[in-house]
This record gives sequence, C-alpha cells and structure tokens, in this order.
Amino acid sequence: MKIIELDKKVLKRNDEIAEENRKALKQKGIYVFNLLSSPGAGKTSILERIIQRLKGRVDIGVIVGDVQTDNDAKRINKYKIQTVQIITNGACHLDSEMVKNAIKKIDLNNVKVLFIENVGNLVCPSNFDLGEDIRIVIMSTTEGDDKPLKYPPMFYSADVMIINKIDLLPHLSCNMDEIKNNALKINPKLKIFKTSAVDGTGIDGLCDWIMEKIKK
Amino acid sequence: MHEFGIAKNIFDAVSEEVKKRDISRVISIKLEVGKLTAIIPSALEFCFETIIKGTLLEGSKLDIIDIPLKMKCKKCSHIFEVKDYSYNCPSCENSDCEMISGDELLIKKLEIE
Repeated sequence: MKIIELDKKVLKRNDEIAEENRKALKQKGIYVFNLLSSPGAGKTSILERIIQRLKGRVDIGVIVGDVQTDNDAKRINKYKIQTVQIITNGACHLDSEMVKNAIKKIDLNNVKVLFIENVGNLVCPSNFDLGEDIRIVIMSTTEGDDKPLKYPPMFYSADVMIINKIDLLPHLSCNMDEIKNNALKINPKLKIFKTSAVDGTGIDGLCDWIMEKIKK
Repeated sequence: MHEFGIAKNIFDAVSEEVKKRDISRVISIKLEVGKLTAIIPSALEFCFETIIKGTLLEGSKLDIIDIPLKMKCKKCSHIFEVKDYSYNCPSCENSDCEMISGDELLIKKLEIE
C-alpha cells in the first residue's frame, strides 16, 4: 500500500475550460453575465426586458440552458438576437464545456455582451465557473425572505442579487429589508436591484448598471 | 442532484492519474469537501459507486472529510465557524469577513496498491 499526495481540485478541468472561455471572450471585448435563480424566479422575463431596453444600443448574445425544451430560446429569438439553446438532458447546471461548445455557434464579432441563462437551480450551478465576468442571482418576492440563508453557496458566490416580482408586494407578507439583510449577512459585497419584469420597474436602473460595466 | 456531476469529475480526475502514473489499483480516495459546496456525502458516495462499476476504479472507496465553513473577521481578526447561518463576526458584529475554509472540493490523497 502506498499513499500519493495529490491536492487536485475536483473541478480543475471545469475551471480550466472556464478560464479559456473567459480569455477568448475578453479578447473579443465581450462582457459576460451568468444569470442564476430557482425555477420560475424570472430569469427569462428579466432577460427579455433587458433586451428590449438595450437592443440597438449594444450587440447582445444569449446562451440559454434548460433541462428540456427550447421554449426559452424561442422567447429570446423573437428579438432577433443571436441565441443558442443548451439542453442539458437532465443535468441540473451548465458547465464550462457546454458553454465552450455554445460559444462556437455565436458570431463573436457581432456581440459585445453575452448573457448566459443557467438552468433554474439554486444549488448545483454555484460550483461551476463558466467563464463569466459577473454572476447575477435572481430571487423573487414569493420565495421566502430566508432564501439567501437556505442557499448560502449561491449568494456567497454571486456579485449581484436581483429581487424580482416586486409588483406582487401588496399581496404578500414578504419583507424586503429581511431579504436584503439575510443576503448581506452571507455576502456583504452583494449589489442589490429590485425589479418587476411584469411592469418594468427597476429595469432601467439595472440596464444603466449593465451599460456602465460593459463600457469599463 | 449535482453530486452525480461532481462524482463524474472525481472519476475523470482520478482515472487520469491512474493512467498517467500506471497505478494498478486505487484502494481509497481521500476527498476534502467544504461545507459551502452543499454536497451531501452519502449522495456523492452513491453516485461514485454507480459510476465506477465496470471501470478501472471499481472497488475504490471515497473517504470524505468534511471541512467546516470558517471565516476571519477583517476588523478584529477573530476566526469563527459559521453556525446558525450567521456570517457576521460573533466577537465584534462586523459583517466584512473573509472565508478561510469551507469551499474545498479537493482530491487530497490516493491510497494505492
């Protein structure tokens, strides 16, 4: 019997490919956002709102991940921007290799900002770097104020949190301060936006911030 | 169920070493798993056992070591383990703390024949 000291990261390969993605996209001057949330929090709806605001101002590309169906890609396709659907066939998260293959289908010379809509899941995607510049976690007002505490890895790894569905607040017992405090307890550096993808509240502020990031 | 994906990554990473180093049999794989990775050890073991059936790693055991989530306060340097969802420093209530352990997902050692 012999012991080999390895100290090898389990996700080394994923991290390496993510770094390749990051480099390749940076070289083309493309800024990348990874959008994460539980199913139904409003990733696609927010993305549609962002596209409506930013189309014509900046060239947008979208990669959409789903376990099944290309329904979300169809929703994005309406806006006639470059969209690639990844169907994971059961896998609960995107990994960097899936994104690497998806990027090959995009004309990178005509994209300045790339949104990757991850599979709806608050646990698994947090371990997998895709090569993004910014990680945005979206939670909605119907999900419970303690959501950040229940899924700390996701909120810890995110740069931005969007609290969506604020148009429903009059009908809910949701406490926005409580959500905010819980999220900041896990990650004091989180930048927080409040939006409604239904009536458009807060989307302008979010888009202004996205444009600032891209320009830098 | 991201344990399956993680188990597959462990399988690939260890298989690569087995081929590279010409190892005849891996008895156990010592794996450090930080609390922040949200991995359930029993689920990971189950997935790993399923994946290695009929492969060069068949019979290898996963030896999982739980690593606690520990933070260091940037203000008073107090080191504490995160319990009851509180990421704030219990000594001075400061919220600006840095993680010093808890996000590990590391193949530490291989026990081989």
